[in-house]
Amino acid sequence: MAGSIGGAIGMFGGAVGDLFTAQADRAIAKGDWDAAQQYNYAGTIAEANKQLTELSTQIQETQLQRKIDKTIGAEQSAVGGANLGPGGTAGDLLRESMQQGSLAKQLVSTQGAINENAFESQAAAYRAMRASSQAASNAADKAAQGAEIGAAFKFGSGIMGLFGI
Amino acid sequence: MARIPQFDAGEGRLQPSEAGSAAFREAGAITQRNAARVGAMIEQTGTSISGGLKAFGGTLSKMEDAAKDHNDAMANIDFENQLTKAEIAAQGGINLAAAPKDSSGKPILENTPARAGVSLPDDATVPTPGQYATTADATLKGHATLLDNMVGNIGGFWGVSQAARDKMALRAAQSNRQLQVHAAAVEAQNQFDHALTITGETEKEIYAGVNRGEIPLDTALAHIDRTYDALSGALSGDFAIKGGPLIEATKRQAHQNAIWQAAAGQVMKGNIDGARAIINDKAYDKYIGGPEREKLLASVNGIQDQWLKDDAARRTAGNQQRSDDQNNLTYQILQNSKLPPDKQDPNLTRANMENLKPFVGDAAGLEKARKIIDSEIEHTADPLLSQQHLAAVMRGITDGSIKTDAQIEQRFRPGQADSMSWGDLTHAKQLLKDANDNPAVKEFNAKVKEWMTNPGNQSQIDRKMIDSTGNISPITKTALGQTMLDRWHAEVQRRADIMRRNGEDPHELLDTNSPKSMVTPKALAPYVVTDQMAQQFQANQKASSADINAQRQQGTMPTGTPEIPSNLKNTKDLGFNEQSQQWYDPATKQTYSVDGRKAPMLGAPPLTPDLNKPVVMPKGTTPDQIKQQLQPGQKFIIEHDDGKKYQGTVPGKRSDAGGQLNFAADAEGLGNSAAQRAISSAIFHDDGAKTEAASAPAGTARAVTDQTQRLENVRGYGQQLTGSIVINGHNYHFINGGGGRGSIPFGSYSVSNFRSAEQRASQGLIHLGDTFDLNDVRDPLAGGTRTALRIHAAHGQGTLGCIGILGGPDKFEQFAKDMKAAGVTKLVLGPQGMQTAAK
Repeated sequence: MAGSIGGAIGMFGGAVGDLFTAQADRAIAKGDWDAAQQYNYAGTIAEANKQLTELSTQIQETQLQRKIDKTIGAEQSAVGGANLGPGGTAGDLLRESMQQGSLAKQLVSTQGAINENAFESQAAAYRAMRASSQAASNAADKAAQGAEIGAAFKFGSGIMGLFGI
Repeated sequence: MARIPQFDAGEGRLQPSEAGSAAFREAGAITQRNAARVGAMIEQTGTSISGGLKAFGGTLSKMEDAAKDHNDAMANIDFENQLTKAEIAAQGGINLAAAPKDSSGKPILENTPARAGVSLPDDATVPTPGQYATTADATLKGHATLLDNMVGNIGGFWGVSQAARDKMALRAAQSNRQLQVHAAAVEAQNQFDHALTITGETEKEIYAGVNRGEIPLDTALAHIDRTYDALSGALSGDFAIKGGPLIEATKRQAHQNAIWQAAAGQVMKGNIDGARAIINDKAYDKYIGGPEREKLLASVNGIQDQWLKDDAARRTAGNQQRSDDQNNLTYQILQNSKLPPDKQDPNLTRANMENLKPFVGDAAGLEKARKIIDSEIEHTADPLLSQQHLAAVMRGITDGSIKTDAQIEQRFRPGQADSMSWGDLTHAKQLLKDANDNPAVKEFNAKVKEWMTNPGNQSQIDRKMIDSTGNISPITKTALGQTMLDRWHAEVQRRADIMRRNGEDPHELLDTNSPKSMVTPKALAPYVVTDQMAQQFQANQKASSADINAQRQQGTMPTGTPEIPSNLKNTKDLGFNEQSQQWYDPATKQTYSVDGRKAPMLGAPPLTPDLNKPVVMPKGTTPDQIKQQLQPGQKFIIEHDDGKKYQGTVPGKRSDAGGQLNFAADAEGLGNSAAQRAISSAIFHDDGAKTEAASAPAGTARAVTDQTQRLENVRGYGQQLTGSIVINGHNYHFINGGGGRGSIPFGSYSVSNFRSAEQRASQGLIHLGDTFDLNDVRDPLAGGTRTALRIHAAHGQGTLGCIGILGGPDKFEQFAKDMKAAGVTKLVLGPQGMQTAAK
């Protein structure tokens, strides 16, 4: 029974190519996996930033509330000291301060919410990137496995071809 | 109360930094890009290596494909070769299974579907369809098994592709199918042959009955119709359709054979006109066309012509035999006359000649013989003149002007002094026979003629041909010069004859460089014409017959033949050279002058037969030629008819004064070994056969075997027989057996029904050439009846029981003529002395 040495060598060549492809896929998978880790870290940081932004907003709101309180308190003292009723100019001033204070607080809260959303979006994006990299890594890993299986088949075919099976 | 100091973060200072996540994002991107680059590089490396390997593998695959194609081709060739051999063997086996067998069981392989128009021998047997089927089936199975093994063996060789194996298997299947088709065709042929053989046996009975007149021709023709109609009905299918025309043609031939047998029956009775009447009968027009009728009539006419020729030949042969007998008797009377009176045979005398059978009723022959005896006894012929006659005859034989015995006999005038002597006449006739029959002698004579007719050569003997200026002129050639040239020529021929007997090439005689040359000045010296010789010649020319007779009456030999000197009278085998005029003592090799004094030898040294140098006699040398060449003490090598060579020495001495050997007596001295018997047979047994022939009754021929008994051969059949048949004085060697069921028993056989090759062919018989029929005989050794026995030509290998006349068709033609001339109807086969034998 005659086998084909040329065919077997061709098959071995294919197997070698597949092995290298598998190695390449594994390298890519590892890169993707590592990138996923990086993105994970970035996402974690973005998450932390969001909490920090929330905390920062609360702090700023607290600080602003205290300023508002201080400002209104000072105006109430001034009005009271001048025996000014709450109506008239002094009342108007107080009312304006309260409105301005509310507005400032609303601005701080809104800005904080915006920043929180931004960091949350950033964290979500990083999570998505991590998931994507992980998926790519898994795919590359699967591809490597497939290439290895293909190489095994080609090698086996070459051996079989060598013996003419 | 303590106040908690107020801490206010600056505006925008509580904003988290994106730097960390951006750094990791960038790191992830870089990692991905690098991994992609590394992966790409690894893949590129793999692609490169893989591509190289694939390219190498591809090239190797092409080489392997080429090698595979070659392996396949070689395997296919081997397979086809073996397949061809197997097919030939299988087809041969199939053909053999259906082949008819001759009487010895030997297959007749012409009897295949390819056979056309070849009839089977009378004694052939055809396998039955059942026998054929059994053998053919075994052959088909054997062939199929063989092909399976071939496919397995050859297809299993390393490097042979599956495609090639598949192809072989397909071819094997095709071969099996073809062989089956062939077997079917042969089966049909076998069935046809079997039916035809049965029909043929019926036919033969019809022919025999018609030939003997026991069955009326019209009844026989109707019987043939019924027989062949039955044969047609027995065939079926495609073969019946194809065989129909053949059966019709065979039936027509059978009708014609029956008509011919009826006519032949009339011929055998001597009624030629009756035979012609049967053939010309218009009632048989539907069986015989014009050309066929002409052919049968031509056969009858041919038989009639042959009868006439045979009759004439018988008369001619009878005359020749009578002449030979008279010559032999004359010789015996001459020898008898030289014996002392008390030892002479009283029947063999000159006075009693007229009572001897060969001379009774032939006055002319008697007178001629008596003149011969008188001339020999009284030496009436001048020996010198006779030698001149002989020399002239030899010259005539050499230059081709003398071609017949009659030309020589013109010089034989018994009773006259200028006649050629009887001994020289006999010698001259033998020389002419040799020159006519032996191509080597003829070729040598042409060379001698070429030398003798050259004026330059002639002038070496006859100086008168050279004028004073040295020119050579044939016009001035003298009569004496011609005489001496003739003597030179006679001596050349004598020496050539001796050299041939010694197995030497006589052309050396014409070679100036050979020590045996006869053309050197020294060798020619004795023949050169001298003045003294010319004067003596002129004196002899003037001498009258009266002077010669006077010399004879005075007790001297005529024309100056010298007396033997007293000192040489007791010399044994003393010779005299007339050319050199010298005596020669062979014992001492000394030459003497004419008056007996020692003298240096003139001319070429004497040449005598070398008894120790074997005379080689090739196959085909006739007994007469053998006898002529042998003398006592001569060693010889003879190639017998069996192809073997025997050597020996001729025993005994010359038994009579005439120098002839008594071969019959000497043959007994050869001893009794197988080789010696063979030599004895080759040389001498014709004498026994002649004796037997002479004493056999009229119409009976004796086939005298060399074997005294018919023994069994290794197969239990009769051993091969050899021997001689003498008819009309001609000796024919024969063989019997050697093949088939061996030789036939000793005994008496009827001889009949000579048929030429053409007649046999016209009767549809197997071609053997011309034949005579012998009767069937019961053979105890073979355990049955031997049939279809013939006498026919043979070439030395053997026969199946027929008498084979050796020498081929030409020899057999002469044999047949002698058989017819002698009217032989009975042949007695057996050893010498067996004149009668039980059938």
